[in-house]
Amino acid sequence: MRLEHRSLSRLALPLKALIDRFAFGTLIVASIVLLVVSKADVRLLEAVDSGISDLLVPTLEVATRPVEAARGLARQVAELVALRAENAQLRAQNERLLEWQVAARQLAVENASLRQLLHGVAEDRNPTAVTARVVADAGGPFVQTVLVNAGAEQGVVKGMAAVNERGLAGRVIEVGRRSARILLLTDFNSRVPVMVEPSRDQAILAGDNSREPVLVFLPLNPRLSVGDRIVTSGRGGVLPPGLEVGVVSAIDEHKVTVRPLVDWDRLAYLRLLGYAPVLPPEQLEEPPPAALPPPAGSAGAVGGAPAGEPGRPPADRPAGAPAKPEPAAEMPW
Amino acid sequence: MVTWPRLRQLDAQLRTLVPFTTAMIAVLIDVAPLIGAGASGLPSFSTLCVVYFWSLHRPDLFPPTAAFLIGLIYDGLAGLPLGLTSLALLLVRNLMSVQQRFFVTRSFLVVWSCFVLLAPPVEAARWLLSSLWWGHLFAFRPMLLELLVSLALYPGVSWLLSRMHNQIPRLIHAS
Repeated sequence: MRLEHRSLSRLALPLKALIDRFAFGTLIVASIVLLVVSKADVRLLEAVDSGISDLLVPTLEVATRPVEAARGLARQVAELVALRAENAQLRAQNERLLEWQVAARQLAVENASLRQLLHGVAEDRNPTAVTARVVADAGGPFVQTVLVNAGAEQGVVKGMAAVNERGLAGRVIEVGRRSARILLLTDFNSRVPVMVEPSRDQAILAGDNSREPVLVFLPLNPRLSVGDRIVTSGRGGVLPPGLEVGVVSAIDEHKVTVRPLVDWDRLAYLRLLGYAPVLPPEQLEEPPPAALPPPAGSAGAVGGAPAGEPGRPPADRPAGAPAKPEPAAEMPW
Repeated sequence: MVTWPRLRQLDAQLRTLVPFTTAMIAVLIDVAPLIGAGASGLPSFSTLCVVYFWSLHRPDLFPPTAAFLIGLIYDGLAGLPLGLTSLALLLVRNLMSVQQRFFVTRSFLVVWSCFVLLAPPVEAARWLLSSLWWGHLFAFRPMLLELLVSLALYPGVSWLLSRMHNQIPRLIHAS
């Protein structure tokens, strides 16, 4: 028996080495083929990416829990230390905000009456919204995307805007069954139509893999200064208009840089917003049933379902992990 | 009925999965949002450290297929072009398993020095392939940061994996 085992081992060792060598060559070729094919057919890349993400998102969810707990603890300790100073600051801010509240109420009444006078079309304020947790952030020096634990099963579709409590973080570019990939504003592939406030100059916010994206395609003689707010313009019909994006941080001869409002160090949850784009007249002749806008005043209706997306799950529900309590009714999105 | 020898055999078999499992954990750590996100995140490529270690110490338990799969999972999770990391890890795996006899008896400093020499071309190859794939010349600085973090991580990763390596039965050393 022992002899037989030895002779088997003697045979198995070179055979295994041979298989390894053969496998090495085959797999190198397979890697190169994958690189070429995924460049030629992006759908393959998306399908494999989504498959892998769907498979590993539950593990990542569990793995990132302790990290999130540690972060929360550190934040609480820091908040305790700065409690007194923060309290004084919040009191001052509260007084200022109360003044703004009065002004906002007056403006809302005035705006409504003016719209009525002009027979203006009221914008839909109840887009589809899904809250999801960030479970992976990688790409290193190459791409800047995050993976969230909500996918098609939760009603996520491509093109949704990803926002947090501060403002726009990016948009959905890949959707799996239980996961979705968000392209951050800072990625070199990101292009977002924006508007400078208060001048309302239109531009495109282009990421360049640095912390601060730049404004391109600005009009001639743009009227902007450092500190101006940048919001989404809604052009292109992909992102809802009026979402806060950032502030102009620097202006020089060659470029205008914008500092996003999102705190990238605390990007734990994202709210994914659907938006019904305005259809061109030729498509309005025979609209599909799902593309019909909801009746005016139907509170909580799924207003943001894009055309051709029937049977969407109910809006505004958290996915997977418990979502942070958010004052959804008070927020414009 | 389960007997002790069978349990021992199962235990030994499970231990042989340690190289692949640790590489998988390294992938999850690399893609997990630990410090910041996007441009403000601290990039690390600890997967390279783990693959380098096992290719050198136990190539029999970390075959080319494992390196390919780990790379594919990394690319899938990170949103990188499929095959990019697989190619890099396959090259590391093969290069180190060929040189195993030379390095396995050397001191830690020699092994780390070899990693310091090997990691930059691997990262540079990934950078070049990514730039070609996207048609965009990526900044060099973030890649350099990722490289430095990985080089600094190696002693810790190596220490941890050496403890595990001692617990794996020495079965076959083929390469």
